[in-house]
Amino acid sequence: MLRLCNVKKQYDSFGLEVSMEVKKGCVTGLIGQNGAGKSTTFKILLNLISFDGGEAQILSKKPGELTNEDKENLGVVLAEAGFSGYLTIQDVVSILGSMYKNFDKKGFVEKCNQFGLPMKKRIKEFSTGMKAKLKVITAMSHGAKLLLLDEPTAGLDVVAREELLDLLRDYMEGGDCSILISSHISTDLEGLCDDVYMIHEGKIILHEETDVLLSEYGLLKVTKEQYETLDKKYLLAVRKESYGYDCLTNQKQFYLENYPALTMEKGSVDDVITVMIRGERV
Amino acid sequence: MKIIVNNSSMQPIYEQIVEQVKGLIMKGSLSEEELLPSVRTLAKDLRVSALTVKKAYDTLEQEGFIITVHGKGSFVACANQNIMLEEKKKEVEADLEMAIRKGRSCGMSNQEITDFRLFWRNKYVKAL
Amino acid sequence: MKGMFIKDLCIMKLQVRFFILIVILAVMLAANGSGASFFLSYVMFVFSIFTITTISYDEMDNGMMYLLTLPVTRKQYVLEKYLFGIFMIGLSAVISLLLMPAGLMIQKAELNMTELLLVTAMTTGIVLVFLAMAFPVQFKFGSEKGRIMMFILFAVIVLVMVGAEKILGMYGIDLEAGLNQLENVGAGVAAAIPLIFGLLAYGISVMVSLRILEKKEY
Repeated sequence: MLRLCNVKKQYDSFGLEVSMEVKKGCVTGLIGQNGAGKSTTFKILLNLISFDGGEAQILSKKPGELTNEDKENLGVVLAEAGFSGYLTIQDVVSILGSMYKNFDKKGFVEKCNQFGLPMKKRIKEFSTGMKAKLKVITAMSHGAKLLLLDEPTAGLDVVAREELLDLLRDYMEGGDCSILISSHISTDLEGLCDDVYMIHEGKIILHEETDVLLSEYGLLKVTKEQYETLDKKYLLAVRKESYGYDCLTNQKQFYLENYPALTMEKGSVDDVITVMIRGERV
Repeated sequence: MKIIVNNSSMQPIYEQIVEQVKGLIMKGSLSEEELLPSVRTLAKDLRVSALTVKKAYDTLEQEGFIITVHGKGSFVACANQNIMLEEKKKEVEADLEMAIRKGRSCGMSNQEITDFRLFWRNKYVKAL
Repeated sequence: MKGMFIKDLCIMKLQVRFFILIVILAVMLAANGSGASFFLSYVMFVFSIFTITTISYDEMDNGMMYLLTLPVTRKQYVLEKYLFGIFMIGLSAVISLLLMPAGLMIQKAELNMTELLLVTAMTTGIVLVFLAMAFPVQFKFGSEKGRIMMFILFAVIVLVMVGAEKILGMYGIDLEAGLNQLENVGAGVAAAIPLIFGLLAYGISVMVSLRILEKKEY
């Protein structure tokens, strides 16, 4: 559904160079710290900014060539942007209705009611959670084939986040669509995404299927002495700790079998990120 | 279909799914030709990625427990007794291996382990 | 484009009370004394400046970025604003032209329809030129810096005009006399000239704005 191939964007103090892909029917996560380049990536895909090199494709077209018909197949949530806060949901309904051929007014209003979003209140008076829900509901209101969601869960509490993710799961159940979702909260992505890209300082540092990440990655906690004798063949990164080292591996089984005495933690997206970013790559 | 996934278990999630579906089939909770939930639906219900469920279904299909008909979904294959028996044997094998490993790790010699085996076999035969 | 238009109407709805107040005030004041034409121009200006305000509303909280992810091209966004501008000018002109005579009649004041029409045409021309300058500045610099830039722009224009008059004066050409002569050309032509000039400026402005927005990075 979308592909970036060595896409470059240079700012004064920040450079981006990413390659990534979202396959049809897949939920792909983009995870990284604030300022890692997530939003820039989304902006390139949406033709909100130009890029300096490489190739970008979205819905089989270059971002700059997207027509309005193509855009009807996109559902977008931007991290810090949405409809003007002076509008009400009622206004949004009439705007969307005249913009999208497939706007599902009934479904939209139902979902708004379900989440307790008031129809006649100005959006700027909404709570953070209500705004976020409105944005996601809006993106899903017109049968888009591809959802581009930049930090849809930012600033939400656990319960609201889970509600939002359930909305996305419902959407995926419906049929043949794909989602690119970014977040800096890893647990958001663990139970939703089929694969995950990790971005750091404008570069993709890891791409892995979530399933593999959770089942085959592990965090090995060893003392200095144990570290000396350890076979480091399958270690990805190592971080120094007070007790010795945290070692990230993508071959948990190997170490479990050969070093059954060592402490092994099941891999999580959080571990992978922190060790990859803060530790030293092996 | 009632499946419970333990996210903090060391066992990969897809394996947990495979095992529990097998269990449901063996117990008869899932009957022959019963339609399983779609990959996306099960992924949604379990809050795991769809790829995980797909992997589980693929494994189940390879092992002959389910059949996937393109466009229709996955069904429980005819509950073949042989496969089930094979499966149970595998489990026993795995348990035995675990026992041996445990023995080794606490320093038991091969002879000791064999003795143990004989002791339990005799006990079992007597019980019969 | 229709969606954008509806959005602007929704924003306008927010200020509808303010608009009604302005109109009533203007009609009352006009009816009370002379100055009908002044208030007519005033109403038209307030209405048309609102078009620029809608851009500020769009830009608030990065809203522009979001609007451009909807099925609207940048070109359509620009064209919609210019059309909305014309819509506002038309709306204010119609409202004023309907209400001013009514107000005047209640007061049994003298009604000079030709003068009102002439003022409307002239104001339309001036408002068009004003918007033609304000749009590109707003698109280029955004609402914050745009306001300062507009101020600078007007200062420059006033200076240029004063300067031009002085220079022309030195060569013995009296601008005022020339303008006075315009009155003799007849109401039709006097109305047509500012209108044509305004539309011309508006047209050029569209081109400039289109270029600005095509290149804009968000």
